[in-house]
Amino acid sequence: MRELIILRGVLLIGIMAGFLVFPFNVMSATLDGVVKGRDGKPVKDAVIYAVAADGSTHGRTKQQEAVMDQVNKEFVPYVLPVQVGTAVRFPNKDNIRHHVYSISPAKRFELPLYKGTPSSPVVFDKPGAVVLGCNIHDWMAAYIYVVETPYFATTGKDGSAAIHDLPQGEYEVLVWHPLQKERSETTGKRVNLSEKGSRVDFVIELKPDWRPRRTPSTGGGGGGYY
Amino acid sequence: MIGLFRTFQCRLLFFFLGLILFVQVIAFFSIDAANTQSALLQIKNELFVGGRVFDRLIKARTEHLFEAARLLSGDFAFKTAFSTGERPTLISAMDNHRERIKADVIMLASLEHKLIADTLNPEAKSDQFVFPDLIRKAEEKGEASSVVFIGDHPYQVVVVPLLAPEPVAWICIGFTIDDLLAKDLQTLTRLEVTFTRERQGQRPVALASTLPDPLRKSLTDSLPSTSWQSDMVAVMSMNGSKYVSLSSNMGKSADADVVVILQRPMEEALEQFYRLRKLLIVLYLAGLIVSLAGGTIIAGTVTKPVRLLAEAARFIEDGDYGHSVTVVQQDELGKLASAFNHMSSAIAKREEQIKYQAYHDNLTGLSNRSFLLKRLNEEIPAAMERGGAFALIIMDLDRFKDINAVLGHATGDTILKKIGPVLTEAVPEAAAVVRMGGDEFALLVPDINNAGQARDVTLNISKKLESPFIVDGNPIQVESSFGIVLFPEHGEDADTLLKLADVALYTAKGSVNGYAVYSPELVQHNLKQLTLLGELRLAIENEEMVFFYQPKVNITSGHVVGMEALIRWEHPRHGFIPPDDFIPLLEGTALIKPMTMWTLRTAFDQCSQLNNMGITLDMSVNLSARMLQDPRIPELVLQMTKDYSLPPQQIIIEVTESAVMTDPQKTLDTIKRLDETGVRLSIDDFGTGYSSMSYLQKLPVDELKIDKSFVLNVHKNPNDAKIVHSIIGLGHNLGMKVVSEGVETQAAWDLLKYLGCDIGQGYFMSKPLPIAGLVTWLKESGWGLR
Repeated sequence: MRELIILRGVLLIGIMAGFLVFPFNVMSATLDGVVKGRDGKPVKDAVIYAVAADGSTHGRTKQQEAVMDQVNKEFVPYVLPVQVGTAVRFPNKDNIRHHVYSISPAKRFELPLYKGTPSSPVVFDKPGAVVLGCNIHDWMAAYIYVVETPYFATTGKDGSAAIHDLPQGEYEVLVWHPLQKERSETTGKRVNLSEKGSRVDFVIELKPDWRPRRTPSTGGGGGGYY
Repeated sequence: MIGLFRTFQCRLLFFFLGLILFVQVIAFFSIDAANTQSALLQIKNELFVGGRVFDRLIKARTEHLFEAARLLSGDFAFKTAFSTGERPTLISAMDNHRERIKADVIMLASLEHKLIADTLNPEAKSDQFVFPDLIRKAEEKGEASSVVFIGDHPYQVVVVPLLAPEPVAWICIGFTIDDLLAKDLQTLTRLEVTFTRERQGQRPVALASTLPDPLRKSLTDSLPSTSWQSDMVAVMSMNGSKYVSLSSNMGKSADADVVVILQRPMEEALEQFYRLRKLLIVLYLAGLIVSLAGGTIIAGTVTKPVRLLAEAARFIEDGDYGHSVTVVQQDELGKLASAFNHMSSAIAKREEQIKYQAYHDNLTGLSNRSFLLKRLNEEIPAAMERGGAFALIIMDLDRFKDINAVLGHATGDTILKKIGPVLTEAVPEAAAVVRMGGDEFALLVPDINNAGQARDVTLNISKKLESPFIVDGNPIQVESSFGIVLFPEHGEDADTLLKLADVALYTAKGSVNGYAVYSPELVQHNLKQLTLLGELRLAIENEEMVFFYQPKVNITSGHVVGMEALIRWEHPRHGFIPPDDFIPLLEGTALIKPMTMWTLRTAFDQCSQLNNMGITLDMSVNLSARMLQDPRIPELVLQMTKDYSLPPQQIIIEVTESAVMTDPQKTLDTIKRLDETGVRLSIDDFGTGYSSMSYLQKLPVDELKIDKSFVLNVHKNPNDAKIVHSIIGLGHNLGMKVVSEGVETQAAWDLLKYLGCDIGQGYFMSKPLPIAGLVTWLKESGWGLR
C-alpha cells in the first residue's frame, strides 16, 4: 500500500513536470501493449517501451529515482524498467543483510552487506539489462532494464501494460523480457499513435526460467538445485 | 559274460552296481549342471551387483563433480573475476579452483557456445566450444554431465551455468578417466573395470583398465567391432581365462563412445565348484568300490547258504536225511536253514511213519496187504533160490458181519484186535501175520512143504479160537475159515498165490471142516460162481428162474396150511443152482429189486391161480435183507395184493433173523408198515442170529421159523430139542406161531408135535415141488387140505 502511494506520488510529480515543461497542450494518448507467449498465454513482467521515431523524449524524464526493494529475501519488483540516468535505491526490508551486486556490462556495481537503505542510490546511466543478484542468497534475482525513453510500462498478470500520456506521433514500440529468446532492439513495431491511442501485440518466445528454485525454509541460501 | 549272470550272486552284484553307477552318473551330471548353473548365476549376480555399485559410484562421482562445479558457479570472487573480462585473471582463478577440487580441467564457455577460457590450453582463442551438445543439454536441463574425449583422453565432465545470478557463462569441469579411477572402482565393485573407446569403424581401444596390459589387448581383440549393447552380458575368453563381462555405455559423443566393461573371472568363482566336483568323483569312486566289496560279501552270505541248501535238498531227494545244513547266520537264511533241517528230519520221521502205515494196519497193528505183497515178492525169489517152500493161508471170520450188525462195530473192532495176538501166537515166529482188510487175515508161513503141515497150522488157530472172546463181559464165539495155498506147488507169483488162496477160502466157507487147500477143481467151481452174476440178468429174461413150492403142514391137525415159494435157477450148463448160491450175489447189485418184484409177482400170481382153483393156502415169500431196507416195499406189496386180488393176510413175508437185526430201527419201521398192510410176517432161520428179546417183542411178527440146523437132529440131540422147545415156548409166549423147517423124519415130527410146535416143513412131508407137482401132491399125498 505504501508502495502504491509512493508510485502515485511519483506519477503525480511526473505529470506535473510535464505540464511545466510543455505549457502548450500537446495532444496525448495511451498506448496499450499486450505480450503473449508462443503458447498464447499472457506474459508477465515484460517491459514494453516506446521510442519516438525522431528519438525525441520530448524533454521528459519519467522519474528521478526508482526503488528496488528486498522483501522477504526477494527483489521487488522482479523487473524494473528505468530511464537512463535514473537513480535506484535498494532498501533492505529484511532483518538480515543482503549483498546486492551486478556484473552486467550495463551497470557493474556492488552493495556489500548492508541493512536498511544505503545512503546513496545507484544511478543507471547506460541503457541495457542489468541483472541483480544477492551474493548471500543465490535465488534472489531481479532485472533493471535501462531504456532511453521515458515511455515504458511492465505487463501484469494479464500480459498487458498501458503507457499513458504519450504525445501523438510515430513510435517504435519494443518489448523486453528477461527470458526472451530473441533479445533484439530492432524487432520493435512502428506505431503511429493517434488521439485514440493504439494497441500493440507481441508474441515472444521465452527460455526456460533458469532461476534456481528457492528453498521453502527462509534460512536456506545455498541449496535448492536439482 | 552271459555265463556270469547265471549265478544269483553275479546278477545281484551287477544289478546293484549298475544301479549305483546309473544313479551316480545321473546325480553327478545333474549336480554338476546345477553347480555350473549356480556358479554362473552367482557370477552373473555378482556382476550385476558390481554393475549397480559401479553405476552408483559413477553417479556419486558425477554428483561430486556437480557439487564442485556449483560451488565454482556460486563463487563471487570468480564471478567478479569473470566480470573483469581479463582472460589471464580468469584462467588463473579457474586453475586455482581446479586445484582446490582436484579436477583435471576447467573450461568456460560463453552463452553463445564460444570457448572463453581453458585451463588445459590457456592460449586458446575464443573458438567454438568443443562440446556444444553438452551445453545444449545443460541449456535444457540446467546442467549436464557426460564422458567426452579431450584429445585422446576420456574425461568425465559436468557443465553448470555461471550464475550472476542469471547464467552468464558455462562452466565445464572435467576429471580424467584413467587406471587410477579404474582401480578405485575395482576396490569397491570387486570387478575388473575397463573403459574402452568405441569409434565407428574402428576396433575398440582400452582407455583405462584394471587389467594388465596383455589382457587389455586380449580384451579389445575379443570385443566385437560393432558397438556393444548396453547391459550386455557375455562370457569372454581372454588369454585362456574366461571372464563374464557386462558392458555399459557411459557416454555417447559424436565420433566415439566410452563403454565400460565390468568383468569377473570365472575361474575364481568356479574354483569352489571344481573342488566340489573333485570331491564328488572321489566319493563316487569310493562308494562304488565299497559297494562292490560289500555287495560281493553280502551276495556271498546269501548265495553260499542257498548253495548249501541246494546240496542238502539233493541229499533229501536221494532219501538221505542225515545231512543237516550248517548256516551260522541269524538272519532269514539262518532261519531257512534251520527250518530246512527241521523239515529234513520231519520228512525222515514222516517217511518212517508213512512206511509204517504203508505196511501196517491201523486197527490191529498187524502188517497189511501191501506188506504181504512186499513180503511175498521178497520171499518168492528167496525160497526159489534155496529150493524152499511156504504156505499162504487166508482166513476170514464166519458171520463177522452179524457181529458188527448186532453187537456194533466197536465190538467187531475189539474182536479183530484180539485176533491178532492169537494168530501171532499160533504161527512160527518167521511167519507173517497180515490183516488183509475187514475180517480177512493172511498168514505167510515159511517152510511148509505140504498141505498137511498147513492144515495143522489152521487147526491150531481154530483150536485157539474155540475159547470165546470176552467183550464187555459177554463171551463171543468166533469161527473162521481158511484158504490154503502152497508155494511153489500151486503158484509161483504173489498175485496167483493170493488169488488161489481166495478161491480156497471161498470153498472153505462152504465146507464143514472150515478149511480148504487149493486144487485146480476149485477154480472151476469158483470161476463158475463169478460168471453167474453176469448170467443172472439173462436168467430172468430167459425164464431160467423157476419156482418151487414146499408145503407147510399144521402139526396138530396134519392139514396143509400153506406153502413157501422157493426160487430156483435151472442153469443151462451148471444145472440146478440153489438160491443160497446166487441171492447173496444179487444182494450187492441193483438187480435185487427187479428180481424181488418178479419173485413177488410170480408167487402172488400163483397164489391167485390156486385160489381160483379152490385151493386156499397161505403163501410164504422170502424178502432179502437188502429189500427190507427199502422203505417203499410195504406200498409195493400192498399194491401187488390188490393187483392179484389177494387178501393180504394170505401172504406171509419171511425175513431172516439176521436181516431183521442188521438195522433194527429202520427195519422195525418197514416191518410195522408191512404189518399195517395186512400181510403176515415171519422170522426165518430163527436161532442163528443174535436177536434181542426186547426188540423181538416189539416186532409185529406172526410166526417164528426155527432154523433147520436145530430141527434136523432134534430127535437125536437133546440140546437141540431143548433149544427148539425154548423157541416154541418163546414164540407162543409172544403170541406167535412156531414153524419148524427141516422136518425129515417121523421121529422129528413126533417130537415136534410133542413139543407143541405149530407147523412143520420138510422132506418128511414133501420136498419143494413145481406148482403142477404141488397140485398133484395135494391131491395124492396123505396130507389133506383143511
